[in-house]
Amino acid sequence: MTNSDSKTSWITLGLGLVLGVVIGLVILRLLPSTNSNSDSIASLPPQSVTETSDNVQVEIPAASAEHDNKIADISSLETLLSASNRSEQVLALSKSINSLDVSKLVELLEDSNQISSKYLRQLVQETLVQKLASVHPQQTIELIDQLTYTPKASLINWIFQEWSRQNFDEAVFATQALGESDKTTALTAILNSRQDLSDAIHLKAAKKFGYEHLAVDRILALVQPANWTDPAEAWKQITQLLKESEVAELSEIQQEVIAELAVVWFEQQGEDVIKNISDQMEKYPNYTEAMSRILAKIGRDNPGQALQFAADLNLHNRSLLSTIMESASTADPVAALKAASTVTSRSIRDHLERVVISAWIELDAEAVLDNLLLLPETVRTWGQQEALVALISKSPEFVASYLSTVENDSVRTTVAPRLATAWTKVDPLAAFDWAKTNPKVYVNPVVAIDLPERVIRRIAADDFELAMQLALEQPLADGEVGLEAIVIGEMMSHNVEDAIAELNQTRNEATKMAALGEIGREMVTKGRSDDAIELAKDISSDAQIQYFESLSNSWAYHEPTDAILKIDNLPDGTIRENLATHLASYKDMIHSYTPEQIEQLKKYVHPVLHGMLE
Amino acid sequence: MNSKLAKNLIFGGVAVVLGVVVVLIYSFIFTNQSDSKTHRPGNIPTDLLRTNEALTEPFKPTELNGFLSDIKRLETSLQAMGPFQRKWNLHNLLSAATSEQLQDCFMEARHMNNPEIRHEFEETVVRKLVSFDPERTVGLVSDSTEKRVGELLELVFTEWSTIDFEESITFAEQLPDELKLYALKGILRGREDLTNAEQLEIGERLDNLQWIIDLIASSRIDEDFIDPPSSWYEILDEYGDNLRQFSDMQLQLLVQVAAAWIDRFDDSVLTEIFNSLANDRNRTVLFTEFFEVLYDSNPEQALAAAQWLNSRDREILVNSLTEWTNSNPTSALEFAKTLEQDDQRSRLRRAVLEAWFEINPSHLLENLEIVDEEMREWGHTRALMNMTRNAPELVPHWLDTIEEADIHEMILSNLALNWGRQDPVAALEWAVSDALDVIERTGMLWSLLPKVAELNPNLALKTALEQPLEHELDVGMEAVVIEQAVKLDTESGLAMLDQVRNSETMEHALMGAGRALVEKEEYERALELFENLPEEHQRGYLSALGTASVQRKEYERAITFGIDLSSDEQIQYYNDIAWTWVWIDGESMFENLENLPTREVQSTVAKVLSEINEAYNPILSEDQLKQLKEFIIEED
Repeated sequence: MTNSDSKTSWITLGLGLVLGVVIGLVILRLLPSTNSNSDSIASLPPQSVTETSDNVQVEIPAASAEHDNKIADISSLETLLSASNRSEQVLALSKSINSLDVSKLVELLEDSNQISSKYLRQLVQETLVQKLASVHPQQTIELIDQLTYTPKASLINWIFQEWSRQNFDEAVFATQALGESDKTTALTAILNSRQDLSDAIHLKAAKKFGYEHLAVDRILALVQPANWTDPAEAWKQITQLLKESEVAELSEIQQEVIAELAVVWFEQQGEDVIKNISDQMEKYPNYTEAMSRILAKIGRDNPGQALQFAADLNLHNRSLLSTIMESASTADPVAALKAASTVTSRSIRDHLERVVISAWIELDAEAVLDNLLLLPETVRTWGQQEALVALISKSPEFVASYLSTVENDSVRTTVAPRLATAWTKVDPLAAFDWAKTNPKVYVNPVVAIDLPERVIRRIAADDFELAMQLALEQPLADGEVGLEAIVIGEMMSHNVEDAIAELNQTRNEATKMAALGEIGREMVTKGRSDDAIELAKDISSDAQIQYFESLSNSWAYHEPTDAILKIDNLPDGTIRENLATHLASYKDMIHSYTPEQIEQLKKYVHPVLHGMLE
Repeated sequence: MNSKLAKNLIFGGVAVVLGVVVVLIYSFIFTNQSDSKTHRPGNIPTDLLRTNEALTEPFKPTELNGFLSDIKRLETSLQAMGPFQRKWNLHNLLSAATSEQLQDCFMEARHMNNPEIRHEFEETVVRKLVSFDPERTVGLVSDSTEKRVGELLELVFTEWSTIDFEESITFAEQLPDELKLYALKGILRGREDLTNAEQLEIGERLDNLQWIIDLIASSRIDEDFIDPPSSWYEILDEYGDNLRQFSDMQLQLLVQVAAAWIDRFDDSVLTEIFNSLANDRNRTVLFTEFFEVLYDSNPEQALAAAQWLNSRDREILVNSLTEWTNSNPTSALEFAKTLEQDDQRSRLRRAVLEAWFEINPSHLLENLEIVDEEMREWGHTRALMNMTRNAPELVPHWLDTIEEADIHEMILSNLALNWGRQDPVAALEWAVSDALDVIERTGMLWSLLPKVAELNPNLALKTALEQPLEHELDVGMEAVVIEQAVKLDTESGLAMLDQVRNSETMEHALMGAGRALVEKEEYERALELFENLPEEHQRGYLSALGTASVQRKEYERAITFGIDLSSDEQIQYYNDIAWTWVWIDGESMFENLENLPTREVQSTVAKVLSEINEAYNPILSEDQLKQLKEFIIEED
């Protein structure tokens, strides 16, 4: 090599090096920067970056030239947003944060809890998380726990929407680390976001978590029943999807779509399709529930036919049949009743007729009363009383007036006490006046319900001064028990001492003894039997027997151990025998006794009744 | 020359490569060093310090009309974007939209297939539209068939309240009741500056005062109650004295105040708390909530309060535990056990178990091991009994847990009764499976098959014929099936008689068929059948007709059935029906004595009446008794 050759070579090498450095710098410039501290993102050339995900090319638009709204801190962001409406806020916010460096985004997100307005805080957090997730979803998820007010589910949803766009498999993998409820949210977000992927990919991803139903739900949620021109083909696809997904049971969405399809198909091609659908769904554990939904839809306009399908498919489940009838009742209760009347089983028929009438009452109780003759005879009385009960809260006066025309004792006995109680709550004086004119309803020839007593007890529960005033205003014959005894008994639930003090308000001895009995009974129920015993120590022997008789049953039922402990010290043999008999009557039904307790009871129970204690 | 040029080119090329490599290596090293020196807040993950790639706005407002004519194209474009990009683009696209365009957008949105995209689009449109014409926006949203009317309406009022607060409320007052709450929520969201009093006023104007009360209560729950007694009485003053009408949130607030009060002082304040509540119902409500809330967070305080209540008013404690059982039975039982651990009495545990087997027997059975041994069998049996009534299909799963034979039998017979009433075919399927032994299955089927026959007589008959004959009476179950089958369809039911397996069964089947025919008032058919029966079955059959008539209070018909019989047969027949008649209506039996065909028959029937009247059911007066004696022929 000559000198000139050598020189030329060195020059070539030098120029080559310079050129190489220039090219290197250009390459560096063109490559996305990895400088973490760089604030020069704005200087990145506009470009359209194409990120490759496993299944789809996601286009991320090139950088904006508009990044002049620099945000110094969270308060300047708050100021920026304070004076505009939501649309303008979103635009301002989006533009402002779009070009910010990631570290700035993180800083703002961390400070976002300082935003006083929850409404704005949520908007800011939402937008920052969405933006951060578009850059780095994995790390964004680590930042969201500290955020307040914005629902975590929304945050997870946005992050996984972004993540799945960037890398579907990675997003699916990351889902595994989440808790159960977040997992569902994330997977739903992934599936929603990547509708460009095939159903098979969705199913595969969901199956990794045993959430195949989510994928199936997602696919079926996009189905538009109005577009079913060929329901047979749609059914084929649905069954294929269910088969491939291997869902263990049919979800709500799946059942609903199938039911909608079934109705369309049935309307086009008749009853055979129901059998077809039933056969293919029978393997699912919630088959009955799914069929119930289908038949309820059919039953709305064709109750008789729906019941016939149920019978043909051997579906006699009461709940399913009730659902059909409820659905039918909303459209036409009379037609529903007619359909129910065709059921051969008497008990099921009776049940379904009641279901229809209940639904009808809910829709229009007065219409039921107006059309009593349309109700089957076996449930007519029941329907009448249920309709009246339903109307009590709306119009007690109407019910009271209607009742006066009813001859059926059963209706009166059922409705009147409930009317008394409910009416008293809204208009105690009117209720009391009504009760006085209709003092008794008979459960049977012997047992009667005293309506004024019921009303006065209810009044006393809220306002015992008024109750006592009303009670004392009522006439009282010799030897009768005045209503004030009831008031005093009810006062026990307010203040025990006050109730005892009210005993001197009683107008005669019979009333006083009745009130004392009420107090004693409440005392033992409250676990204060010593006080109950003390209360009776100064009254006559006969009065004591009456007094303890009125509390023995409650004592034996609620506090048997206590009663047995104290039975020996009760003042009279009759009292001890009464109490022991009550205690014996509860043996095994309610209580079990030790051998010692049984021996103790045998001392007082009449020998004829010792069998109760064996 | 060529070789020189080639050499120089190689040199140059190497130099270029070297230059590039040097720059890249330098850059790489520098970058890494720079990274390692970067100061970051400790809680920011290292990897996050990555460059943001700013996005542009691909949609211009001018593109809106194009998208409106092809909404699917917009959906497709939006579908390809992430949430941030999508939101920005949507707002930008709509930024210059006119009111008409926005309304068109709202109407077009329904053609979007993806619900998420559709919802986001609608929300953006609605927010924007409010600024033009809020009233029209409400109309548009309310009239739409969207299931999300409420959510969209909330958005409308959020925006509207920031534009014109008073106008938004005035308009909301005119909305249908079911929409007012959405408007209220929107208004409060838009106007966070409102005081509690202002919120309450709006709540009242929009008929949702309770919702506001709860909202305010929930915001107070975490307060540090510095003066609990004042807070306590202030709350009672504000909320009124009927705790049963309080919402959960109000109760929770009250409990937090009570807990703070007890914390600050001691249990002695319980007396004041107890007395400050108007009645036992209020006390029960408060203590129920108190135990529920504090059992987890401050169990010692809950226990101390319960012990105090136990000595003050056990009834309230029992009722509170019963209420608590409805929401959390296991905790309520544990609590009751702790309270009663040194106590012979078991009222608290019993109350919990009683409530538990009523509300959720399965759950109790699943948790039986936490029930004290002495109450376990009782709880177990009661839970199963409840289940036979309310969810009989669940009972089979638990049958193996029953140890006592008599309880097993009792549960099975109740199961047959109730399941048979509710879903006889399902009960039948289970009964004929291998779940039961022969005796149990037979018992179940005798009870079930009539119910199955009401729905599906052929299935019932087929099942009956597969079962063995009853071992003592030698009767097959087809007898009970046929009675029901005749009730459903006379001829096909009677045709089943051909399949009866033996004479004993035939006797019972005919009696059943006869009863069914009387019930259906097909008397001629009933008598026609009688005429064709072999003699051996005639008596039983006719007695069945007579007894069924008596049960229907058709006494004259019952008497007529026996008129043409021979003397001996008459005595047997009337004696048979007398034993039913006397219990149903002894009075009418007495009155009909003289209508009976012969003195002997009258005497036979009168003896039955006399015997029952004397021993069990005294219905005849002295005078009637004297008359009755005249009918009786005394035997020598």
